[in-house]
Amino acid sequence: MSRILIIGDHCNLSSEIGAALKSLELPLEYAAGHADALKRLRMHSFGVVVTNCDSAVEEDLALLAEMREIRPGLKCIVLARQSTPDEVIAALRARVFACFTPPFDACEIAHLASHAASESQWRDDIQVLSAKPGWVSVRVNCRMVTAERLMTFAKELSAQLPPDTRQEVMVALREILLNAMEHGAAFNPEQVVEVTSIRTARSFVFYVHDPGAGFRRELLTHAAIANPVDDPAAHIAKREEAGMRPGGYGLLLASGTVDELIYSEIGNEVLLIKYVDPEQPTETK
Amino acid sequence: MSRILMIGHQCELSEEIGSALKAVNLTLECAAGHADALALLRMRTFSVVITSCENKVEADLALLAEMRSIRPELKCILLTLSSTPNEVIAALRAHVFACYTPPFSAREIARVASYAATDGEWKDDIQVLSAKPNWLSVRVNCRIVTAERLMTFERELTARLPERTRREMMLALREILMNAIEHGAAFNPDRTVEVKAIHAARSFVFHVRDPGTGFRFDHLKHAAIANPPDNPAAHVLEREKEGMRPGGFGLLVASGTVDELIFNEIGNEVLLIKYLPAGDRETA
Repeated sequence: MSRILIIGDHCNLSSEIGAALKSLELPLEYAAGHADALKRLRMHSFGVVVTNCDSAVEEDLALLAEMREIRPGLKCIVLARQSTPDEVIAALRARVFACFTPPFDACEIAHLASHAASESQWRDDIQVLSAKPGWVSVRVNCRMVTAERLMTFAKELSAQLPPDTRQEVMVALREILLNAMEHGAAFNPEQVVEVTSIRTARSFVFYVHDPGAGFRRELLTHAAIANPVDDPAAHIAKREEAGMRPGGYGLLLASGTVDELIYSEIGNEVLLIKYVDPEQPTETK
Repeated sequence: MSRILMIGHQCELSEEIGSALKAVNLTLECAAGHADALALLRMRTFSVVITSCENKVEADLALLAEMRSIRPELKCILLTLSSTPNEVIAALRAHVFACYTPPFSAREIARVASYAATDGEWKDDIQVLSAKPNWLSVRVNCRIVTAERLMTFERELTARLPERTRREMMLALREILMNAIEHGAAFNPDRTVEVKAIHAARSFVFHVRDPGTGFRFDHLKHAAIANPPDNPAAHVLEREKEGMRPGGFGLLVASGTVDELIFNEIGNEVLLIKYLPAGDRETA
């Protein structure tokens, strides 16, 4: 388990993240600022750095480049006041581990930082295939932590959506992405899922392609989405019968939060569309 | 040049197609019906069959299976009264050469038939990757004739759209497909383009991916879409300077006929979206 360096010892968030990490018995230190962080990195080995939540992404990426001169394998969790799609793409390309903007959730950040501290095979887990502000395509290895990482970037890329819309799209994407990795690749880290996020003038589109053999809808009796209208809990009994954990609401949830959820014939490709009213005010970040 | 068999010589369309084919010196025979077609195929070699325009797709595909048991490499141009997405998919999977429903253009059918008559390398040109009525993914070889063939199927798949919407989508797809095949693969038949057609409840989406290295928008001076607002013909001079044929309106036309035309970073993938107005969704 490698050590974690948190930059910015003066703010509440840093303290909260620190407290959450300490409760997990993770070794950590605080740095007062960027120069102090560089100094500490020269003196001790750290595997993870969490940047200051008051900084800008551009500044954090410049700092990361400096820090990697000292510790090339360093993982970085970027906390920033705000992000633009260009900055999120730059962060992906700089192999930032995860990226967060307000409102921050200290527990979520600490949770990812703890993953980062124990990860050694992360560096090529998210490969950028093609990226410009309205269109980002990535290939990701099928690991839970990679999905969690990708979700932080996807959340930032959808920052211009109205908050409710954004939350709904993220819920759907998360379900579909985890389904793809679990059912399409059995969380085999050697296999990859391709995810494309496209922001158009009137819609937000996600396309997810997993390496699996797909599924047949009539075999989905363990999922709530396949329940007959007159028996909305039918899948629960099926799951018990098959000895599966409780759940099976993922697809139902996903289909209820986006406007269109369409599978290819085989079932290993899925398109999520959320239509956006061009007149609807968007959150400017 | 191989011979063409046309089924159903009674109707006006058959006569028009026959005249157009004769005008380009193609050998043509007519069969009175399905049984006659099978008899003629047993007696002589034909490489192309054009079905009767009064049949259903299902009947034509059954006939095609019979005909291919006699002439396995037979190419079939399917004319039919109407088509459903499932029938179009079945036709693609049966390696039908092209598919048409009314209104028929005898000239276009004859043109594609003449391609079929001279084409030896067609059978694996359109590979169905995944197909259900609202999602068709194909991989096509980069040849003009393959693009023409694919367009006939895509047109049928969009048959439930309002006519104007359908025409606009087809115009945009055609331009983008031809661009992909020409600029993304230099018409190299060994290379492939992937095309997805997705019919959602509120939109119709095409996604085209070519094998090329893409392009940069600032290098598109020969295309009308890059003209500055105060000089709408700037690309004409650029094309003359570069010794290029007149044209360059493809992307401009495509972007003007769909609601969204978006290229990826590299420029080798493009997404075309047409949103369906509330009144039109019911027909979709």
